[in-house]
Amino acid sequence: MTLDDISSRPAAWQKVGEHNTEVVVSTRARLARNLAAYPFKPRMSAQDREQVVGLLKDVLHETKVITEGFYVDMLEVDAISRKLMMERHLISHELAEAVGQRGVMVQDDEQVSVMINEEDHVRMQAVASGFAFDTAFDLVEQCDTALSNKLDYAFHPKYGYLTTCTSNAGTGLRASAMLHLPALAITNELEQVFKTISRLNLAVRGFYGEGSAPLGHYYQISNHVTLGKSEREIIDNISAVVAEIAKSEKRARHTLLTKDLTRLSDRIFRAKGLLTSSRILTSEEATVLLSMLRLGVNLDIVKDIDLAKINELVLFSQPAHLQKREKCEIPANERDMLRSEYIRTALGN
Amino acid sequence: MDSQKCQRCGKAEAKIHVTEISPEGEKTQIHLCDACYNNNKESEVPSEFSLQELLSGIGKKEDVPDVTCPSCGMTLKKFINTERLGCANDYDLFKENIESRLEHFHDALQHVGRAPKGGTQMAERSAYLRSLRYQLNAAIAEEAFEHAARLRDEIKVLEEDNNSEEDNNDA
Repeated sequence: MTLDDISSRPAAWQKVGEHNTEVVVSTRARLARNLAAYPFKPRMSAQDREQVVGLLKDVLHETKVITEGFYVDMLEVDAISRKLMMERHLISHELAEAVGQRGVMVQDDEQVSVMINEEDHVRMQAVASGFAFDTAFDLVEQCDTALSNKLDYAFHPKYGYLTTCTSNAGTGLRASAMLHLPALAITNELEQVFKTISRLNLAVRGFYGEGSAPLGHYYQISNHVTLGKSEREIIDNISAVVAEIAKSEKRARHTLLTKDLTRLSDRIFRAKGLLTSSRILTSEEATVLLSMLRLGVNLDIVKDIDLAKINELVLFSQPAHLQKREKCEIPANERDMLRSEYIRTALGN
Repeated sequence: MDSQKCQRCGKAEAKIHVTEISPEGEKTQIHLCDACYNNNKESEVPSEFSLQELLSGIGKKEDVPDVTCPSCGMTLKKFINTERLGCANDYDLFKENIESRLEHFHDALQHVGRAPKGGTQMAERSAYLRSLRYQLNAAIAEEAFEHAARLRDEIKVLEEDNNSEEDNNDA
């Protein structure tokens, strides 16, 4: 498997069917670790970085943590490939744009990936579609145990796993869920939901994590605290909160269906109309319109499109995916035309 | 209006614009980011205003003597500016600053949860390895190649010890 192979198929977290993915689109668990025998990223020499990459690649192979996978060296791939990986949530912006030896080991099915030399030496993550914290955490825990049998982690009896930023110290665990909350947005209840979330020591971010704006009513909710709570407590806490928010969203959707069906349908079919007829679509606009269409499909208002197709459209209409398909760099205005063409065709026009 | 870059570090956005007027009436303007301005302030001749500030407690902006980590070269000042640490040793070296951050962010100081197996002996050896690596990088930079070679050998021996220990653990 290579990057080119995976670029034309749905991402791991887009599998529809196993768990309900209407509101909770995907769940993720990430563990941050540093090797004890090397300085942290800010003080690593070029040689240190090279050695850490080599060491981790060897250990990952040896322990068969990722039984079938491929390694992507950030220094050897072009900007489009790096953006592609970001769009597939395989790497962070930090890994894509940093300097020096760094890369990511990706399992063929993209469910597990291990970043090397991002902010910390090792950042392993597991992704599952739908509401599946236990699945994601179990996978990443297995990875951690296997690596710790072969490597000496930087660990402190008081402060736990030691990370470059104190905000990740302790468990080094970031558990997060991607939620689709269009109904709560329409009924103006989102502010209240977010106030509650931050009071509970959870953080809310847009579609692409740190520093991004919420597009298409997709929100990433994650734990804020990593020290002083066990991994189990963190997972249980965020699970409970996400379940509550999902319930609220479903309730809001029901309200819109029963009290305001015409206005709701209008919004949804206008979005469908634009998607099936436009000649120019920016990625921002496409995200917003597809979000409405997704709601329409979930509520059975739109009957001729399935969720899997929506997921495909959301991913493949992203800038790097479009350019990968065409196998070349394309300027933004041309991409916008290509995007509309791709979506029109995919929706049967 | 375009955002101006700090004239000191050239990286962050300049948010503070200081105008100095010389006795002859000449004006010079300096544009600095938060971090560089705070650094700049320390080296200025104290005026009646900074005395005022000190009295009101603004001088708590960590006017501490700088500390350097022997394992990685990270300084306390650099850590405060960047909020990023240099190695595991820094957690103990900068204990006060670290703990105040941990308390502020996590409302906790004691880790609860998973821990890797292996005792403090491994930790001490790793700390030693780290400081050897730091010395090796410095020796290479100074072109003290003989010293560097000796350090490299020592590192190699320690690493081999580590490996054979881990293999024994697996058995």
